[in-house]
Amino acid sequence: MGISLYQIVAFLYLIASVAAAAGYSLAHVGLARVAVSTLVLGWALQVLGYATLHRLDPPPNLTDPGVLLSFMACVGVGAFLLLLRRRRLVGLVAFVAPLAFVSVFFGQLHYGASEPSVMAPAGLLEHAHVLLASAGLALLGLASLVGEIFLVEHRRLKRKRWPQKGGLLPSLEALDRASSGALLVGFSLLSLGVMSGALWLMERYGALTSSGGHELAFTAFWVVYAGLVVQRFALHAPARQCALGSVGAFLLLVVGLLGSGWLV
Amino acid sequence: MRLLLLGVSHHTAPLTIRERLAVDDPAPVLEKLLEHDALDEAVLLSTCNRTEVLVLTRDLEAARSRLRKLFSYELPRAAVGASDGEIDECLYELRDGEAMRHLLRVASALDSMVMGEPQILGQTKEAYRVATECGASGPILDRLFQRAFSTAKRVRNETRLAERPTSVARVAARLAGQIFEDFSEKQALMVGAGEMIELALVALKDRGLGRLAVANRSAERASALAVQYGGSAHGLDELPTLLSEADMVLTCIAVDQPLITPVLLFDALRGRRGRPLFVIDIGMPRNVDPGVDVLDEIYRYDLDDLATMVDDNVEERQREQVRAEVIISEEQQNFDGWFVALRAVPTIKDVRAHIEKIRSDELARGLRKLSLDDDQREGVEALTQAMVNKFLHAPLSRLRREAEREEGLVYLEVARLLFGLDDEDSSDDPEPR
Repeated sequence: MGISLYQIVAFLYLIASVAAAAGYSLAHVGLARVAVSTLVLGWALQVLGYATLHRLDPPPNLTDPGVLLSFMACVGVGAFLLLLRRRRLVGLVAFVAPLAFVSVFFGQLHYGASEPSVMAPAGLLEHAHVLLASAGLALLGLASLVGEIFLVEHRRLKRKRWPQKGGLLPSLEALDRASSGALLVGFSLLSLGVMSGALWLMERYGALTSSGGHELAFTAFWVVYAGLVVQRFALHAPARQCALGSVGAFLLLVVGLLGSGWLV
Repeated sequence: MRLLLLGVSHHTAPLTIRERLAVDDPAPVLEKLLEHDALDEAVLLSTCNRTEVLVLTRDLEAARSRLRKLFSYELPRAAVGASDGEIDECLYELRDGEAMRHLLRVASALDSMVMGEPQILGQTKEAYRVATECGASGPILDRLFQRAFSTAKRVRNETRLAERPTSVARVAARLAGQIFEDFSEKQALMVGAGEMIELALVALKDRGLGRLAVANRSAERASALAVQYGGSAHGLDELPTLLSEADMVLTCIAVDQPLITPVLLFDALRGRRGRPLFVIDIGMPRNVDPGVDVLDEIYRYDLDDLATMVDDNVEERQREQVRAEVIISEEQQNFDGWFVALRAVPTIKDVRAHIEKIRSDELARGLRKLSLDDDQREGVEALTQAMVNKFLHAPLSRLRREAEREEGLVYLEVARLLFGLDDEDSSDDPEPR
């Protein structure tokens, strides 16, 4: 049930991607609306899929890369849809939907690829750690994506070039605020994820920290993101610097996590 | 009589050149121009998008050379980023019918950066008024400009070009929308209080602009604008403070040197906590130093930058443009006929003078041989005069009519040949038969 649902979700995200790309390039508001509606439908089905995961026998490993990718896509799309309610970000569907499709699609391809891990969560803290940290990463990824688009838009406006039919592109201010919101919530979730992970270590090994690479990496990432939060909210750095920071930090995170296999 | 137009516009010259050639007060330039023997009448039009001089001349080459000298050496301001050679490359030259047509198109806003915009007609009228007041415009240019104004009126009334003008001001407001999401919490600073500023202000207000500050040399005008649109009025000396508070700045004020410099903005940015500043400079010469572009938070656009954004509703505008061009052609033909017919005037005068000389010489010779009293003399005089008039009426009328057509020039040539008007001995007394 869960698997076939995810295939439908991937298909819907694909349709949303195509509609959004067409709407974006043609500046067609109707197509953009179709894209948003399809994205919402896909997301709702994905949430429903998560609600049915526990019915699978055996239930999937939460640290399974396929499941994680799908979960992060779900959180990212959900956060984006929330932002969309407050800001004029319709143009971003053309970027978010393809990423969501790729995540869910590859999530399905890799589903069950990993053997049940010794770190497979069994209790509340383990679940909280994995879900919070993953949700945080998803939002930081969203902040990075929006930051990337901000940089492209900033460059375009500084170079005084604009598409003749542009109209769906979000304003720089909307992009900056969306990125800042995603960063703040993402950092908070990441912090909670790190804390719940520390508590889990305490519960399991009797110490708040260990010298494992996974813990060290997450602590380092947390420090980097704490720096970004300070840069944006305390030092009020210009939006471009903040966007650069978001993009750079997420790249570091992805390379660090995937390249070193610290994600699991 | 020939018409000659020389100038630069946004089609041929970048802003760096146009601002060097901008003329604040055309009157002294026109007065100096008319000191030249070859120039009979002149009008100078200088706007944000063009500087053009239209002259009426009897010696086309001399006029051409004089106007080139004006553009190359007399008009350019101190060089900033453009050499004199570049100015020369940007100049265009139009003669007679082409010059007429150009003026009609300019006044009708068909040659404007924003087609159909209403400002250019007022600017053309102002240029004509200045030329008239300083005595530079005479009967021919008077008539041409009146024709241009009536043509512009026809274009406005008979086409839809002016119905939805995509003004530079509206384009600026749309561009601001690519930077800011919500205008209601933004403050706009208007530097200057002219028509363009007011138009931009209306466009921003339409988008829900929150707060407004107007800075101007004339406190009175700034206050008037601020009161009308619910803002505060300031002097230019308050710019540093105002810049640190504003989110968008629109400038259109007459200055010799940029009013807003990188140093001024750099200082203003310190208190802005990284907020972006959107700057639209529609002044001529530019009011904002382009060097501010190096500052990350500054998004500055001048007239040339905005030009690429105004091509909205292209298809509809193209349709209306075709209709407007037809009107232009009709009006041009009407004026052209009148103007070309002016070329017949010297020939007609010469024919009349030639015949009159023959008549008066022959009359004097005849009267010497006759013994007539004064009444009789007057009678004979009137008789010969009437005969000459009758004889000349039909051919000269035909000559005038034919001369209104380009092909009619041959009639003028034939007339000059038949009457020997250009012969060296044409002034000699003809031999009596």
